[in-house]
Amino acid sequence: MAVTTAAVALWVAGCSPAPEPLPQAPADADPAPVSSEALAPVRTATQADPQVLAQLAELGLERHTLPLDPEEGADARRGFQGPAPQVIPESPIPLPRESPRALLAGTLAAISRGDAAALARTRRDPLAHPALTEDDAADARRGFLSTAIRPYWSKVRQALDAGRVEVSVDGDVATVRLQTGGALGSVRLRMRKESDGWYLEN
Amino acid sequence: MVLGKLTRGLRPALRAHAPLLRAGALALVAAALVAGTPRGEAIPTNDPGPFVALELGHAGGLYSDELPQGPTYRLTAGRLPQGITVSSSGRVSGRPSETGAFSATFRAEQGALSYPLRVELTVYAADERDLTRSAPSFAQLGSRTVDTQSLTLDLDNPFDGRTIRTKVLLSLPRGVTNAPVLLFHRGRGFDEDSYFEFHEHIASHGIAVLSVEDRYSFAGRSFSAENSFYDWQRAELGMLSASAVVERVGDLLLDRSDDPSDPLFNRFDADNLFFAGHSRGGGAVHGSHHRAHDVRLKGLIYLMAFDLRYFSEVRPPADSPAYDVPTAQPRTPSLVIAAENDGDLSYPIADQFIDRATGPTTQVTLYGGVHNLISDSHASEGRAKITRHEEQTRVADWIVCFVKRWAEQDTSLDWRLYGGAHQGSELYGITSWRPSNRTLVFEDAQDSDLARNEQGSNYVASMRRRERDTYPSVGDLPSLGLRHVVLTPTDDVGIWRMASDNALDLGRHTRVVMRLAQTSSQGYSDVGVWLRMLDGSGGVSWFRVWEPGQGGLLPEYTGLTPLDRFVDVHVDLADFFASGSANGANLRAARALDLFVVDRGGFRDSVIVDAVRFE
Repeated sequence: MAVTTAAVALWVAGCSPAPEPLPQAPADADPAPVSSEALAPVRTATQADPQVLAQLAELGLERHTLPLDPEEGADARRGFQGPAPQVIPESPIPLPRESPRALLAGTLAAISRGDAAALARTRRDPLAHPALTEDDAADARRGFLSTAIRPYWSKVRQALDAGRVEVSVDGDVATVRLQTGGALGSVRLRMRKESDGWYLEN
Repeated sequence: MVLGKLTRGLRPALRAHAPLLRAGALALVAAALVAGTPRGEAIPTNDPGPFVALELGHAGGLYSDELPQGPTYRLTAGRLPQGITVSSSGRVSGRPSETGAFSATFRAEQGALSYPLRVELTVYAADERDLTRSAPSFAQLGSRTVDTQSLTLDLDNPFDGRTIRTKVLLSLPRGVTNAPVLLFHRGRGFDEDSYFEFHEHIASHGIAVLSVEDRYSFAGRSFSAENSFYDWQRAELGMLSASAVVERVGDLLLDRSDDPSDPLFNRFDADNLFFAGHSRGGGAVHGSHHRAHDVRLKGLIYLMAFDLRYFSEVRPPADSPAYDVPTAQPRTPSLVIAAENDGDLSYPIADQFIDRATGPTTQVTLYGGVHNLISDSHASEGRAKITRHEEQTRVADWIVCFVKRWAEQDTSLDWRLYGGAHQGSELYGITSWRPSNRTLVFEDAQDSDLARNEQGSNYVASMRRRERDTYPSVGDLPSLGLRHVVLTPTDDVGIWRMASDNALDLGRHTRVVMRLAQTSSQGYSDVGVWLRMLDGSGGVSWFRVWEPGQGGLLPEYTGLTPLDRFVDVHVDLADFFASGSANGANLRAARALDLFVVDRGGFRDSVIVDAVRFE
């Protein structure tokens, strides 16, 4: 504590640089992003590569127009997200849902056969989602079939095949814990029970 | 210097870990620790204080930022650029009239507390002509011989109050005094000496690497952890414990560097303290990021790291017994390195730190890299497409670049880290976030309004547009709620228009920047990307971002990688061109930016976009 006191005394005595007075902050506010029409225009002036210009013409991109203002394009305003996703057919092979373990085995089988529709149904209950869409299939491809995610499911498969799995069920909720090793150590899959069986929870 | 321990580590750590220590038997530990904390101690003169990276400024532009709110401030050393003032409440404002990297130290006072606070403010010329267009490489070994030394330390783990013993392997550049310090925590299944060659490479560039064993928080290579509860049952607690252990090791070794009687006297620069961690050690970095000001960190390096936000126990509201690791972190500079083919912390576990980053952040996706080849001898666990040597040297290159940038204020490295030097690279996918006072965000997909961007209305033609999380979300990979814009063409040419309600003055901006990814397995082989800028008076300008076979700013598909991770695109506004007889768009009255997706293969793969902004 004596050392502390000495340190403070040294600082107070002026070993640190002397404080400098602070000038006043300017009063003006942040600039608005809106331009004054009176300002001289600043136009892009790059000379386009003739090959790029030719490609622009070939693609006909200049023909494609959209509105700038909501009132200018009442129809287009409804088009901020484009058409609804298309409905896709269900998988001919339904997932087994009688137990969490069965659902997991069925999920891994669907991954093996690249069945995006079946994988979309691992999470989508037909009562809440009567029809599967291309968005559901895209989600399933990202979550189960993409190159990036395959190592995750390979670890799950290896742990399941080796019997390094624990399933705990608490009412309508189940947790499947698989010992995968490595940095992860283990992974947990949470499931929920609906009227027709078990589903994966996000 | 005992005082350093009290202020740099233990006391802030106790504050931060208080929620943990509330629980059960641990509360007794907390009470004992608090009771043992001396009262009324002052901050010692060797405390460098928190480091704050202020937002980037531009000469002549109106500037505004804030120091952490609460204390009063007065300048004690260094200076900020001419034209910038700081009020006693910490408001930084003015119009900088000179360029460069400026640093200053303020005395912060709040009640009985008085401590220094370091800031850095970088100012570029308005047209960024001083953003040096060179990309120095540190991929070769540096000029310094590296000495190694192993220490054994006994320390109190502030996380849970346990006393533990840990080894620390020091890789020290010979002849360098006051070297920047890289604290390093290993991953689970690795030891502190598993990364020797990688650490030697970093140290050869004049950086002291302190590699912490800490087998208490999670297992080493023998997979025998001293605390199996942390190792097996509650991995997130182990990572939080590891962050506290590293912070404590930093305290102890910086104190030794202050002690003239210690062989380590003057070896470490407390002003340049960085924390890097691999795998679960990267989770420890995440834990310390939240306390970066308390720990006096200048930078954080996530290396194929766990994201603690995956654990419901540490996500807000973060009920006891852990503490929260919110998305909003202190604006401490950070470097995030993810291995594309990581077979252990598989995608996207280590890939979301860049999303909604607050401070200057660079994310490097190491194409073809895996989790284990960063070590000297661990076998590859994934689909490695680069060698161990390539992985080690490429990662070391980025770490040295990052540490030198912030330790030496070397703005010549900014183009690499934040300016798009590596766009189109076939080795790395780079995306960055560098808050600037003139950053004008057009769309970041974070509101819940699909119809609106940040400036006006969204429109699409011949495509579907959604705002959603695009990361896989299954099991232990829950969504973190980070949304992106997903564009799926429904015809050969699809357009997304980002319109502005008012004319935007882009005259003071130099670049339009955005992050792009795509969903095909063959990169951008079948998709073209064009931009069109419009004013409200018929002026139109174009830029070809990418066309298959013609090249551009996106990476060429080579078979090494599907190129499905985010990469930045930086388009210089001066490179937009007019076509035909039309005038080019007036940048002082811009009304819309169009993004064209040209689907040349008819595969209808999606292009993913985020953080569209003018810089």
